[in-house]
Amino acid sequence: MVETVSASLEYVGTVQPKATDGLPYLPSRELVEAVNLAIYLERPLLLKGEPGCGKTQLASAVADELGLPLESWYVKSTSRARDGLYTYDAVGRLRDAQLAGSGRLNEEQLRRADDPTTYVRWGPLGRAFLNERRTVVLIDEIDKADIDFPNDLLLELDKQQFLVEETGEAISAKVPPIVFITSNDEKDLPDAFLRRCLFHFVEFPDHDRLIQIIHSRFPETPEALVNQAVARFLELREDMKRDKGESGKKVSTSELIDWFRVLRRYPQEEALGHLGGQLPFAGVLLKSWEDHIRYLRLGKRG
Amino acid sequence: MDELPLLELFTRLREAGLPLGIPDYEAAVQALQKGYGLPDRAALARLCQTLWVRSSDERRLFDYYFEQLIGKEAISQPENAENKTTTNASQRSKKRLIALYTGLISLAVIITGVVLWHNTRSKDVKIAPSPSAIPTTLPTQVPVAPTASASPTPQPTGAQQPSSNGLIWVLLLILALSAGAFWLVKILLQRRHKQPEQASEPAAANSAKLASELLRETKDAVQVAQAVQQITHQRTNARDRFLLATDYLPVTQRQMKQSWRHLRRMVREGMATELDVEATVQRIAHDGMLLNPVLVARRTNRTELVLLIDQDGSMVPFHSLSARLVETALRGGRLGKAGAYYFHNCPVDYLYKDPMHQEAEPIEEVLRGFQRDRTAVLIFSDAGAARGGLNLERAELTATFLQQLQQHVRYVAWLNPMPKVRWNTSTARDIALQVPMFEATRQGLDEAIDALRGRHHALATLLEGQK
Repeated sequence: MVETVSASLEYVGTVQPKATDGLPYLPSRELVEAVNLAIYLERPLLLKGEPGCGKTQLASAVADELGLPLESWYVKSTSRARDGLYTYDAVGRLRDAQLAGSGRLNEEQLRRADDPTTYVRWGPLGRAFLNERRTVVLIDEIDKADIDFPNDLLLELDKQQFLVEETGEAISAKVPPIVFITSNDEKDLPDAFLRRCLFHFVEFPDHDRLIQIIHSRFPETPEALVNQAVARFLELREDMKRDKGESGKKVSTSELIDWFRVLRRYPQEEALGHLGGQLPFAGVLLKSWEDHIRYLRLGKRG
Repeated sequence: MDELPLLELFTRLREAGLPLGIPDYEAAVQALQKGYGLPDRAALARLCQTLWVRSSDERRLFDYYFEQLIGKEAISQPENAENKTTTNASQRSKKRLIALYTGLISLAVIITGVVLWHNTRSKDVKIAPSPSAIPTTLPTQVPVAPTASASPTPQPTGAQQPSSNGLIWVLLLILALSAGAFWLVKILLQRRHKQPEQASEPAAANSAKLASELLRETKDAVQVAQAVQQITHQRTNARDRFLLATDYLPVTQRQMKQSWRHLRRMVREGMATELDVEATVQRIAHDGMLLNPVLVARRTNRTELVLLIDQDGSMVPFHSLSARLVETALRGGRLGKAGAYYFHNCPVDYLYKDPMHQEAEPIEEVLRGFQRDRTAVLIFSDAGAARGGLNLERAELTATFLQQLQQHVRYVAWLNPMPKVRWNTSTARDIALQVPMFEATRQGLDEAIDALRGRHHALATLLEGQK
């Protein structure tokens, strides 16, 4: 059955998501290839790249296009690997035990409380394993958690099964999920984990693609404004790249989209006028005081 | 597919330190069978990248090797995808051509031999050409050689009237000449074969986005990998190895972070946020029911780590190592507080807050900020072991500083990037008597951290181990 499922799934990247926020997503050809490879080989796909280049959105785009359910797991600094599989509501069970002890539960509730599985709450990965349909799982910003966090997921991602310790229940995936993992490179990921992933570096889009992205987001905007805005944006980005090197914070695609949204509110002439002078709405693009001072002035001179 | 040097690429990458296993190779084969990565060289590069590469450093390595190994196959690549037999056929025809040429040349040799034999019989000659004539005649002779088969006797005119006793010389000369001609033909043949490849290569390279600019950019990752490879192969001379290994990184960043984690003195402080299960159970038993869970403060690490780093001079090769130490301690170490000071050779009067020795701070003041039981000081320096020899002044200055330091903090350790064998013959030996000193390896770092936690072995055993 798995074979037939994987054979029929082919991500194209041109069908645009409709369910979520209605925003189009334009993946590069290489990314589409990597996604298909990950689906075919049933391995997790690890996505790295600058912040704001659309790593997170890929999962929902893929899920929408293929018509599959999506489970998102946003990792926090306190996340434990088990949280993605299930959590056990020990406090709830304790409370029920107390209530039962004082005789305040009815028959139905008592029966529920007797069943230890009542207190298991499935996490995103757990739900994906239980789902009859193939599920897209997003593990977002895995590098936020502890450095040993990914290692604790090895078995689950490899063998696609886990054990609920509290009930002794063994869960194995009905259909292997399609797993996307994003990382901002804040922490190094362990080798053993990397070995099990496919890797793709999401590149910053080039000039033409940026224009394409803006056009697809804001279909009825005049050509001149888009070109001018993208040119100005890329100029700023180049300056930042020169000053800060490859690793510094640079303006991202998502910031460009926000910035353009503001620009678009003005009539074309006025917006173009804005673009000619000092960097307009700099607050959307420049996020630190130093950037503010440096690049506002640069804008004036240019 | 067997003709692709995929396995070669895979093993090279493995040797370069990429964490690859057999399943990774199998995955590539599986994907190729399914049709991924087949259309052209760029697609193959993308496929292998997706499967085998997991960081931008590794990507540089990959690009380097891919260019080296698969780059040469650029031309036969598309043919491969369409039809394997074409390359086989072209190879076979190439072999046939070589065989033809060798046949022609040997024919020419025999003919000239016969003609010479005839000549020596009919004529008397005075001087045999000396072997030193070979280089001068070679250039004129060589272009003629391939055409020698057409006009059977070009050589006899070149070898003028050999004497009967010089016959052997002449035969030797002709042999040498024909051998030279054969080699030249072979080289020409190869070059001719290569030319179309080289012409088509730039286009392929561009499409693969594996431009050589990227190659020029390749920094430490490639160099280190090469150095590692050379060491494992053991076939380069020492000079090359020394030149290439600009970075000495015996401990990876991740390993450093893991080691720093062991450096901790946990104390509960701050807001009460964690559930104290035992106390809660006790409370329930006491009250008869659960009223409130008992909360306690989180345990936090109180260790303050101070790195004292020797910079410049003999420490130049270890700058990237020390930078990594500082970075991992500050960023991923989960320490209560971490900081670094810099000095040159040994701290005298001042410590510097930056590697460039710009912001000075008097040692007295730095030491005053230390907390005797919380601060751990790790010194990273070669202690004169890189240069070798005993420098009494340095030993004394260091001893003074160490005494001063040990009055303020309890936990001091020394990390020495030079191997232990070098310590004995240098100032490092004297210094190692006063402070626990360890090699800058994974084990050494762990031991140093153990020492900073207050449980190092006696100094004496350490010194015995040296001998």
